[in-house]
Amino acid sequence: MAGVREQDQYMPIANVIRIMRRILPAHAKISDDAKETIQECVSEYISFITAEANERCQREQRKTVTAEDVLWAMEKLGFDNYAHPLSLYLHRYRESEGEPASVRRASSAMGINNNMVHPPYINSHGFGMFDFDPSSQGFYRDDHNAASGSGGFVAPFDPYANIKRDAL
Amino acid sequence: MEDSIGGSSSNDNNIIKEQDRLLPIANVGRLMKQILPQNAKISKEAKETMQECVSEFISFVTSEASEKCRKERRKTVNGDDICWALATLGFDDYAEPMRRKSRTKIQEASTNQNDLC
Repeated sequence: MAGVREQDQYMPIANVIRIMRRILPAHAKISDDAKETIQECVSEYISFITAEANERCQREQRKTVTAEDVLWAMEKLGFDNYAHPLSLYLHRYRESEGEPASVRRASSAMGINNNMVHPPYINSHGFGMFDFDPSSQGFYRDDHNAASGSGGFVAPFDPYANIKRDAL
Repeated sequence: MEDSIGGSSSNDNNIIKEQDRLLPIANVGRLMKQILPQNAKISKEAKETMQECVSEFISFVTSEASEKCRKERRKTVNGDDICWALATLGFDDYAEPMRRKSRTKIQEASTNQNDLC
């Protein structure tokens, strides 16, 4: 990739480390080559999915890559267990974006940020979105022995639960 | 995080949380742009979706590598642990090139060291 600046090619290392630190125990250390490896993988991962999403857009003669294209690309590339919770997440995000202004005002007054309702799937590792254990081997492989991520693992979720509770 | 009625502090906390949890959207968008043709556009939702996924990707791989270190009673997560985690989670396509790259770097470093001696 000649002529591409490093900051354009990779994600900022400080942010990558911050995400890693949230997962690691407090006393853990991260070597420089671990940081670099993750950094490079992230770039590859984004490129991989974007290229696939772009292919779909070109086939359908569209110029704008949408969230659906990204989700479709993930599913096609075998990240089915990402695509399912993310599509639900996207649906909720859109619902919250389209909610009445009065509800949005009421919830922001209570300190709830409804611009982006975060999915409540928290697993044992404390990740944000997926309620399963990544240590089950071969999770991303497209084989029948791998644990399936598309089961009913999504927790029931009502973005307006706080408002309803306070109204009672 | 305390609930504050009508105050802006909780919103600020949300913003800080978001920064800790996700990679900067500008960088994600920039990387996506490099792959796309010049006339292509990326919706905000597409960037946000990618942003979420990348964070999960980092978390998954780190968690798996961390577990390996815990079992082996080591405090430092290294590049090999990351490569092992990638392979374990099915990212075999990533793991091997990363291992090769890592080995090349080590060889280059030792060659440079020998040249200095």
